[in-house]
Amino acid sequence: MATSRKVTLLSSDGESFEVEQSVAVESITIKDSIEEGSAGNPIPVPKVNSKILAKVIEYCKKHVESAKAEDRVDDEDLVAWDADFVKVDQATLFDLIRAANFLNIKSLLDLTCQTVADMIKGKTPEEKRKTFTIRNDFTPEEEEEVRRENQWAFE
Amino acid sequence: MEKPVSWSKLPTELWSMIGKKLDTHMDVCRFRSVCSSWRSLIPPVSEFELRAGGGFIGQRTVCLLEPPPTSPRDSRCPPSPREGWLIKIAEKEDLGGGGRVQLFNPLSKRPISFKGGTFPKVLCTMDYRVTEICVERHFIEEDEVGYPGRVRKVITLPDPPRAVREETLVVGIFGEGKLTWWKHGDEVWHRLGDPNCRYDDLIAYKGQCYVVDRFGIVSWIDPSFKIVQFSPPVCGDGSGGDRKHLVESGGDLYTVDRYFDEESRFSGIQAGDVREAAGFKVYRLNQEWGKWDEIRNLGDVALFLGDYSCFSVSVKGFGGCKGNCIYFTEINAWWKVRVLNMEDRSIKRASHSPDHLRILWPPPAWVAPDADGFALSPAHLRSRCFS
Repeated sequence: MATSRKVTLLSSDGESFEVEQSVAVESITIKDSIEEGSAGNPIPVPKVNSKILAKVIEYCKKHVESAKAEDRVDDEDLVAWDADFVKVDQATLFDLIRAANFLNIKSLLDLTCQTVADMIKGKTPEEKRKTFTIRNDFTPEEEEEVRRENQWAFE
Repeated sequence: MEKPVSWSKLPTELWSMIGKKLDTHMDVCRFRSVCSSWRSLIPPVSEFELRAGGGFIGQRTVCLLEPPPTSPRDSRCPPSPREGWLIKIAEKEDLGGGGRVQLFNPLSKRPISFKGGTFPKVLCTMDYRVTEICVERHFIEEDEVGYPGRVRKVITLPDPPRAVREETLVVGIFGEGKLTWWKHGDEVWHRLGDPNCRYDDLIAYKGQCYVVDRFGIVSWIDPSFKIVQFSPPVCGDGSGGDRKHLVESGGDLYTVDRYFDEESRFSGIQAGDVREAAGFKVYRLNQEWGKWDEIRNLGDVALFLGDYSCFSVSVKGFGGCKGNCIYFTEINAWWKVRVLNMEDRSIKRASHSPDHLRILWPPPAWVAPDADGFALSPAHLRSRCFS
């Protein structure tokens, strides 16, 4: 199979992206549908709009390139690139996680989940609720149990 | 204004993945304290007692406690300076459920009993941001056979909270610098490394065990328990100091080289003699080039060299709190807490340096009152330093 084969991806809002097949198959979802022969051309990518699809493609390109490079790109450089990649607003991060999950791109999913985990670390439960607009839905019994788990009774 | 994101629409399996990325006991516990569905996604961290050849491994945790910031609505105002306090605790088993907690001097095993009148009896940690800085392990000897001498320091791998009893490996430094290891099911500890080598410190770094010897050569322990050299010596020409410490900061590995004062160096050294420090040099391992870079300025970071653990804390943004220093205890004298100021290389008693005490809590009873019996209570220090 020629490595310079290209495929076209169609975002949910109708924009087309032409990419190398080697980049597109970073997504297991797309890879499977190409291999099964069920992918049309262009390959529709529902649920992922053009803004997010562009970012996902950027990510996949970078990772495919750095794996291919003759002198392996320093892992640290890639880590730094990844760190910059996820410096986005909450809405974009949210969409990226969902896209990575839907498209089944493990490394992107790991990266975005770790980013959210880092947002969570250290904060009080109340701050976490505010950041992610989560309702406190504990029953009174659970609330009591939670409070006891988080209490320090000093000797 | 940013449109609010409906995070609650994220499928639970993704929240589960996110929760599994949390790698400290504290963070897991607090994840489970947010809402019912998060609570059901991650099981509580199971603590288990780890028995190891002739004793068992205890645990103490160093944390940074901060009240949540009261950020002004107007984002043009600069954020108010952070306040925070470093504490070390050990959770005790309690039959009634509800954690009873013992406070310790962050640099040693000394429990803190004096707390002063305003110290709370019960702290609801949900009102604070809690960041786990380091989990310290220590070895509690039980019987007299099975381990080769007085234990100085131990670490366990893998790091808690994902540790599983059957897979846990314990590595320790015994006596004056012998390296040993033990794993689940073993009867005795095994010697490791060069028997003529004196090992000064060890650390769990990036999931592996690294050790440093008296020359500042850092090695790691490979899966077949061989010592593999990882760095050149810190001072190739033999001009290094007398005791090396390993500490991680900002993802990098550092060696801190302690120089004893002239008297301590040349008097007849018996094990157990107090050896006072005269100076320190800090080196960061440049892994790309395989060499040590001497670091003269730590910036916003404070290093803590304790008896059982070494760790670093960033004081960036903390109101008036000083970084660029090293807190340490004298060798064999855990009650002598000192602070080295990297700017002028001065070493002071911690109890004489109010600027350096702001991060310590309960402040600063654990640095021991000085000769005048002057010990600051938490409220006293707070009103003096934070007003």
